[in-house]
Amino acid sequence: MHQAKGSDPAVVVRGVTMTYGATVALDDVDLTIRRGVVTAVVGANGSGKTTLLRVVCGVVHPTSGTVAGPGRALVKGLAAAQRAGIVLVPQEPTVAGHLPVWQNIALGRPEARRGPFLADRAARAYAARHLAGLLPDSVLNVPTATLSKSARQLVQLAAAMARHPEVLMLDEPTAVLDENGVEMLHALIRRFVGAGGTVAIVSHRLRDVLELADDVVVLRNGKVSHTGAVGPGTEQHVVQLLSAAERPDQARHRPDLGHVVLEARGLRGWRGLAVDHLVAHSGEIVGVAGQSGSGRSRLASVLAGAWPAAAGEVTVEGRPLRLGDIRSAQTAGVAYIPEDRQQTGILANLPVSANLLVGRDDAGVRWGPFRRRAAERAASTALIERFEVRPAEPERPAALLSGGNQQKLVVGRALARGARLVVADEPTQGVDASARAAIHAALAEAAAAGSAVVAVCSEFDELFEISDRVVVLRDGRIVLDRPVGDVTQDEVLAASLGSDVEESQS
Amino acid sequence: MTLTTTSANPAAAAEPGRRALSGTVRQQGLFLAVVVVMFLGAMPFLSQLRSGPYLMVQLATYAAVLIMALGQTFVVLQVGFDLSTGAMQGFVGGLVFLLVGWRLPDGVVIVCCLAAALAIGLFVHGVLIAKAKMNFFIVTLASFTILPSLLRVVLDGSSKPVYSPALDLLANGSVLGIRVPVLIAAGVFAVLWVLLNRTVFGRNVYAVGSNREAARLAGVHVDRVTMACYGICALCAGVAGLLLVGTLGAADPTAGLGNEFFALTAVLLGGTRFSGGQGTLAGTLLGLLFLVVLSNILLLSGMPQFWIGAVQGVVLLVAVGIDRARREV
Repeated sequence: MHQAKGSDPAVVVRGVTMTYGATVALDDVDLTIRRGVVTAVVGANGSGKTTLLRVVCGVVHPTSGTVAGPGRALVKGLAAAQRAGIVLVPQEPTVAGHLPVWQNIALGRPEARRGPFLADRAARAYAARHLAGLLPDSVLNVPTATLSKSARQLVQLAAAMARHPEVLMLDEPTAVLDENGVEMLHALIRRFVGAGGTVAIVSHRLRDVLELADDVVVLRNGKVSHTGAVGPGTEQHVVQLLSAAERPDQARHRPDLGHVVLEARGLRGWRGLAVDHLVAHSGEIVGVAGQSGSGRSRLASVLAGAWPAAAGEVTVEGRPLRLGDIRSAQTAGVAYIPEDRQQTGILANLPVSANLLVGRDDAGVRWGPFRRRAAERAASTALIERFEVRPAEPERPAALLSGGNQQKLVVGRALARGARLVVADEPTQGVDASARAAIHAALAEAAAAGSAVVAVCSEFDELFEISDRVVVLRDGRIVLDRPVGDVTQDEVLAASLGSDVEESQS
Repeated sequence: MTLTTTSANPAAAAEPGRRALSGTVRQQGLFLAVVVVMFLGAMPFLSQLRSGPYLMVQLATYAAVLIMALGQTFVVLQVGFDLSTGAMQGFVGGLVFLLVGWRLPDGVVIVCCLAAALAIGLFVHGVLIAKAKMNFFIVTLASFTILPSLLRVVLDGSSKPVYSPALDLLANGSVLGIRVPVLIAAGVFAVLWVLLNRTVFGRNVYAVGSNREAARLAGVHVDRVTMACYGICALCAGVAGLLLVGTLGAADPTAGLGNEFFALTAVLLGGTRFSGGQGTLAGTLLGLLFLVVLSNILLLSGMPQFWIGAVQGVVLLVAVGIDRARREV
């Protein structure tokens, strides 16, 4: 029955159309995913990648068309997909935060029970087996919510593997993973495919995903515009296919370094944050790197006033901030783009315009306590144009936008205030190439206009692309602080891991 | 020519907004149509529904509950629920009894009662929930048991007659043939509508209800918004309490209890989501009208009073169920 690797289809999608109201997310898609290989699904924001994955996994029902799983069984609904061995790992970690890691992995597994009774010892051992190679055993008993986002995503991956999938569907698996986690993920995928499993990955990291993939599917506007095996010329070909949707590279030009905008001294705080001295100049983009848990996000949130620090001083344009008071930071001219837009960025059921304008009380859109609604409309239309939010509908609920466009809302909201200091924490997490370029351009524009920018980047490509200066954190301390021209990716990695060599202190 | 182009542009920019907005408006229009059709359909069969004075009495009777429901809408929008509004309504009766007993002028009595209600909402509920981060259910459950107990202490356990000319006018007077409670409810609706739809505060209520942390990071005073909403809710319950004392002409130890859930039913029927961030005051008004029209029709056609609660509960489940089903399509 089972034929040779790659010849037998694992998933067959026939004529699938998916509409949400007037929006066509998938338009008559035909697709075959071969068994025992890795298929990469790539495309711009809103091209229907995530919808395709959700249809295949039975999370949503297509408006028309069919999906057949391994053995040609029709997949209708989540339960059927799971019986067919199709398991989805969504982009955002969705785990039960209060439960320990092992319970999350063994949740719902027959191995975790004996008749109607719990079999916790067996469940724990079972969980430990599936966590091996992803995270250390020591986290098994830890409440899952206390882990970093990257680690939570690895827990979710372990839980997916614990279901013994035949077909593993990964939606932007690298979006929230740090560099270590990405390596773990790749190793896991290779092991899984080596053992006969089938993988489909949606990813924006074109190079990474093509390195892994045997097949590639390119989606554009809900249609399949290319399918085929990955060869030497594939990357260039795919980029050409996608580039029509992308914007040309903005010339990187910024004035010479200006005066000191941000100065932080003696910061002490949570999880061993111990930053003695950090400055950012007008017109400068400072990239902050570090492993997850190194304190990079904590540093950003303290600089932005979103979290208190135990001790220390932060000044912006010479004005000291009240630490942990976000209003004080905003008055001093700090804009904050938080990590994790679902949790802390987006007002999902409010319209795009409300998302862009929330927190604004400048005279441009306010008249005393009252809203100036005509000015609000004009302001949100202008921001939608400037940040290319699509679809360009100010009254559309933010929940209906793709991840990249949601992120543009968060960035647009922060940058609309003309801040002196922009603190961005993973500003392009989980967004596609064109949104990423738009966000990078917006940060560069802010710097060119004389702001200082502090950006936390866990992706090295991005770090080196946008930064003028690179700061590396480890265990809450700055272990490297150098202009981007004087440092290599290997040095940054080494410094962040603390693995070796001369640490050039700031 | 130039003139037409310039004037066409802003209209085009506003166009998608209008189209999307019409979703809520259409839904509420449909709801309004249902209420009107129910009312008109029953009119030929039930003579009371054709009587102006009867209808005015009904409106005046439910004015107090409407005011409570409007206040409750703010709390639900920012995610929460004030269990104590009915208890607050009764408690204000006890305050009126005390203050009238001290022979204070009516104006002072009214101001003191409203100030006390506002202070409890703002500084007890609001501070404990927003600043001390206590669960809203626990905080208002405590008030739900404390306030009626204090009321019984004040009244010594039995209903006491209270007469105050001003309250009598507020509850039983008429202006141009319209009962004063109806006018007060209309006034409260107008003020709260402007507050919710035309001020920065109103926008922030929605933002806090939609995603509290995102609103905080965007610079919204989330704690103040929460406190203000509990303050508004308690103040509304205070107004309703004054109306109730005036109507009864007495302070009663069990007055108001149960109204909090009746008001909440109206809020939820009106399309306000318990998860926050979505809902309107007009919806709350429609929700209450629907309940009142429905129970009137049933009672007038001879259904025993005891069944009304069951009907209301089923209606709530059906309405919210339809809403959920529509959202999932």
